[in-house]
Amino acid sequence: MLVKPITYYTGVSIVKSRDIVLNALLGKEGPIPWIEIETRDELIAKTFNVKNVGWTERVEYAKFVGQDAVGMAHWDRFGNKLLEKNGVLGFQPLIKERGDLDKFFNMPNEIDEEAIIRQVKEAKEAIGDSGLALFVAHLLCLDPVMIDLGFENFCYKLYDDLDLIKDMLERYTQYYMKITSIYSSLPEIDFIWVGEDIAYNSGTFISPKQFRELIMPYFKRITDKIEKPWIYHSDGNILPVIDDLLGLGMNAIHPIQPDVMDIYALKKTLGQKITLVGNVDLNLLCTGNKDRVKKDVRSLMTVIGKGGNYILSSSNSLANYLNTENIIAMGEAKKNWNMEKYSAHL
Amino acid sequence: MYYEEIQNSVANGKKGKTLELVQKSLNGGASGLDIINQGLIPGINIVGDKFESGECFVPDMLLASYVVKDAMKLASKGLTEGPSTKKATIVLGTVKGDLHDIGKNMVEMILDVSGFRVIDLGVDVHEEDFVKAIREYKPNFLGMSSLITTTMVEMQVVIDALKSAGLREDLKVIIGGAAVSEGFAAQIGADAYSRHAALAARQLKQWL
Repeated sequence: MLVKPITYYTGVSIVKSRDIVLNALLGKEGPIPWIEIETRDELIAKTFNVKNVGWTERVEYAKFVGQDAVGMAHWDRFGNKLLEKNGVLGFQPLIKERGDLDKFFNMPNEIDEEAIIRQVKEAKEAIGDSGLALFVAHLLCLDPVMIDLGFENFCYKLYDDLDLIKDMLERYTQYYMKITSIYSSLPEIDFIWVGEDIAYNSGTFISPKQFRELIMPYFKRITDKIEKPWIYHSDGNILPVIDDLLGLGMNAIHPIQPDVMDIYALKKTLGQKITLVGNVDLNLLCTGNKDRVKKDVRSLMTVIGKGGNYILSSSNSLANYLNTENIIAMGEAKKNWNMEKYSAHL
Repeated sequence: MYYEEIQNSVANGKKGKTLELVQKSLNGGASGLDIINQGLIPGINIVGDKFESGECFVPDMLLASYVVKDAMKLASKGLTEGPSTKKATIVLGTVKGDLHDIGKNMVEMILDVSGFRVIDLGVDVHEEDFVKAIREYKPNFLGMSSLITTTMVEMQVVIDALKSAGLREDLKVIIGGAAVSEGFAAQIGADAYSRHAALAARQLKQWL
């Protein structure tokens, strides 16, 4: 699916965001898009100085800063209490022992497919003829189990009550198999973004052997249901299990966390097999200056974008505490680079 | 005595076996202090070294800490002075505005079983509470944790508050968390940065 831009008399090509996102996911060389797994509504509200943020504001924000996609998310976890302080999210686990599943685990028996379809149509209406791509982000199964049990309790249960962990993994696997099947069937959805953190800065949460034997079979059952181009996200250093993850068949990986994974080295080894999505440092976007942001963006687009297989993104997501000017600078740098290289106006 | 066997059973996360060996050692006349210093603490150090080299992972460290915690209770029975087993005191906390505590909790567990007295102030700790705790407990060390960029700047605030209160000189400050780095530690005047709990324990022991 190659992009066929419309060329105006100025020689500038107008390209649709959706097309270049899909091209990049499929490994085609061309204008480089910018996408984010999540852009917090609080950031949008702060930028536009509004109280309420809906699909209209999300689409306007994407167009304003220069992103090429908007998305919805299923960060559904059913056995914990959400805490929030100063915009920072925390979770209070509610499942201490098996008996707590009946008391506190509130996964619905049925998924409200009509509600999903309504939301997707609402998003698509807001997108209109802007050309933005539409995606859904969702979890797999390890993250919600760890959140519901609490990480410490999860670690103890690996030894004390592995069956409880397996029971919970199975419940979430069934749930997210249904979720991803629903979204895969909707023509309005252009791609899927799986978000499942499995690693710290120093390496995987559990040993690669345990990850491979215990977790990967559940991951595979869910991802085998995906029928759109898709991206896999995990923070931290996933190199110890990258070959296992690649076996899931994703089109791209994100974010290649800059302080623990070297995207430039990964380009040399994986760069033509899979699309790399990332990795503008969140610390830079928060406390750095505009010129440095632009320099980093240009370097990424030039080096990692060479030969295709690259999509610009931050090293995590656009959190509410980021510097608005730096985000705008990121979009400007992306726009200017695409104009210089491809005469492409995005 | 069974010190080497205790080290190995701790390193392998065998709670039942560890408790059995501790009891056997006590029955054989070993002192609780020797069991702790020659069996349990070296056992946790083995796990720390293996974590550093990539042979062990976080669940293994947590499990070993869990085993040692229970074994220490058994070994400590009959010890007349609890604090005498403690090498030094550290005040720990996640800084203001930050709710994350997994790394801090791991540091607490490893330091506790490694013979440190740990005063855990919890999460979202304001600078005045850190200062108050330093005044009250007079610790040897202060450990601060931060996971996100906006809250890591609070570490500088705490260090400045300690300087203003005249408390900075008598204290070593160590920081950790996903957001921070060695460069950041140097920038704010902390004494050290630690990538993970086992390294933090090692740094503190080096300072003693």
